[in-house]
Amino acid sequence: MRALLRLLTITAVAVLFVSCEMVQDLLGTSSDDASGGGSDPNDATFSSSLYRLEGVYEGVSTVTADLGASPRDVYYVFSNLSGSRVNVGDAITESYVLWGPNDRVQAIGQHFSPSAFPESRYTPAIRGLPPGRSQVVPQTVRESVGSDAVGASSVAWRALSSYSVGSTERLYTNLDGSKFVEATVRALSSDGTREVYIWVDDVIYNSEGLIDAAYEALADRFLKSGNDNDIYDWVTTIFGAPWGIHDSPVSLIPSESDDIHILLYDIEEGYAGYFWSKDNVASTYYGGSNERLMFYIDHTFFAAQDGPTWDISDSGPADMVSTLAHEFQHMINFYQREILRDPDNYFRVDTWINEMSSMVAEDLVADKLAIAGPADGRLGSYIIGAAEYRVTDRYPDGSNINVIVTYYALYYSFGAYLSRTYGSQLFTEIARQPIAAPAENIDGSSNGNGEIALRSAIEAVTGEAAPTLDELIRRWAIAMFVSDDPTATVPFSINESDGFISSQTNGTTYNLESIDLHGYWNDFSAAGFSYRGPLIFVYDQALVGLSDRGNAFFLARERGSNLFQEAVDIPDGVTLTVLSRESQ
Amino acid sequence: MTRTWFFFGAALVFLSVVLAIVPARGNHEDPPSVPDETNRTIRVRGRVAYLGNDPHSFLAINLFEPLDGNGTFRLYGPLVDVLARNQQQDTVTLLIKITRESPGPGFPPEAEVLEIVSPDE
Repeated sequence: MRALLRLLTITAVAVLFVSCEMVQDLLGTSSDDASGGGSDPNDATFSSSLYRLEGVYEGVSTVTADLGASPRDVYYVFSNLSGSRVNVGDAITESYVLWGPNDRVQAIGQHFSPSAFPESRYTPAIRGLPPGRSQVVPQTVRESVGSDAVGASSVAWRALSSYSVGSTERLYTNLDGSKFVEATVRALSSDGTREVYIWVDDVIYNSEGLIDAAYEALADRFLKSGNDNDIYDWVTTIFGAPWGIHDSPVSLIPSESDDIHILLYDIEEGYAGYFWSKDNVASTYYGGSNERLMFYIDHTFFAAQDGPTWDISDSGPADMVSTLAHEFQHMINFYQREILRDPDNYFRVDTWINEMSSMVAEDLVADKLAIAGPADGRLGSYIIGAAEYRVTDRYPDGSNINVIVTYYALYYSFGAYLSRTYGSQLFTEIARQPIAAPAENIDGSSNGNGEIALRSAIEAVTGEAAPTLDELIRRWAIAMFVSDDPTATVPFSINESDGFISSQTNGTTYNLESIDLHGYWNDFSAAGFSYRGPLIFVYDQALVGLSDRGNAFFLARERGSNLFQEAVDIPDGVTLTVLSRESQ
Repeated sequence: MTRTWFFFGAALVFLSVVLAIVPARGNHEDPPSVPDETNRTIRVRGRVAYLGNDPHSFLAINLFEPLDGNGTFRLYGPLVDVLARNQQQDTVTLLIKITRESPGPGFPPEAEVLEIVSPDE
């Protein structure tokens, strides 16, 4: 009997142990990461012919670098991983002084004449943000809300309707249905399985000089017959299907919905487009639901022309084509992660990783569409925003347009680094991640679902433990800084000498444009100056506050040689990476 | 002997409970019921973040312990701006009043922030 008891006890303990492991797995608290495979995932080898890694420092330190006989410039890369904003400049040495926005022009290490650069091709547009709304105010809930057993849509699902050119319908543009446009299908295209319908607001139709061929060109870019030849193919290959099976047949549009509807209307206020999941829900839940797979594009941007005649390759319409990929990713993300992989808990994806994925979607299709990728318009803003804002935040409501643009630039820049380092497959893996519930760490902090999804996706791609998010952010800064050297190697390389960094997902090759940040510029002509390349601060004009997860670059010594030494007092939580570069 | 049988029985019960609990963690066939909690005031702890895609992203708290099956509450009220500007990504304890149930999948319930309990503001 005792033997049986012992067996039962051992069995119970074993079951408990296994269940604990399962819980750990479910909570993502397994200690596998810590044990790793013997190597620290935060370690990375730096290799570059132009740059040399001189050391990484924290706390009170003495930076030491043997520069050799040939002149080299010494750069400090500060990465604030402290969890709060710090004042790096104030804390390093007394020779650093604070600067404010009015001193910014003097803080810049490299000056370039605005006339040395081409005119701004196009002002980066915001994806999202319909006009005049800082917060969505939902309508009063109908009785059926909250239960899938009642409240079936009183009309046939419009998502399953067929339309033809000339079909008209009222399409809602807010949640309760009090705002709408009367719209007509002006173009459609099919891949043989599904259709894309281009709806145009009847009020604006014919008022901005476009003919139906323009809408047909847009439909053609999004969907056409054949494989691997349109935005639908390229974006779904990476992120997955925009809709499919789900277990809410009453509240959500039918699983078999697969036609895509795009409404062009005057969104106003400089915003390019948006996806709104209200349209995936029965109109019994939201009176403003159009009950279909749908997103919205600004007609005025689409109608903008560079010359006397409109062409879809003009900067405005080309940017709207790029926006199709951006908003389509949001549509897919909603289904893949928030419906398919989180049917019960109503978790939602962190905004920063959702927006980052959409910026990467634009990037991935740019080469295929022969249009300028987001790098053109975004990296200039990243130059300024790298130190100022936290990439894992979203701008607070009410922020001005410059702040909003800068956040998008950060999302793009970080996504550009990640996609060039881990390939397109990384974003496939991100789209497959269930939305992790947050768990409180022993120090009271927690990891957001964006961070957890990103690190899990890296592990799926590499088969190895992922670096921490903080380490990824530090590497991102260094990769951006040394991007004028095509010989830099992964994970610090975003610039290949042949101009593209290629990767494959499900048999499709994606070519991402090489990035040399030193070739991008931010036009502050309104403030009287322009600036190209990473924003490099210098002694006597030091950095003001450095945002948590912000990165800042300093020129510590110009044309130095032999032994370089400097005492530094680095704020807690800030990492200093010291690089040297052959002087020019 | 009686005590031995008692322990044996207790172990069997314990084992059956454990075996019953473990697989239930992965069972998503029965969606959680969401009782009408409107106007209920409750203290919750979790992580503050913007969720969803712009422009329909919203500030929310992701709870460390889901409440009646809900892991996320969309936040409203004057204190939301304070949270958005100072506490994104932070762990907070909030006193909230639930103002609206979840209207359906993909749409979390909503709550007004009555007080930022911790960290103190």
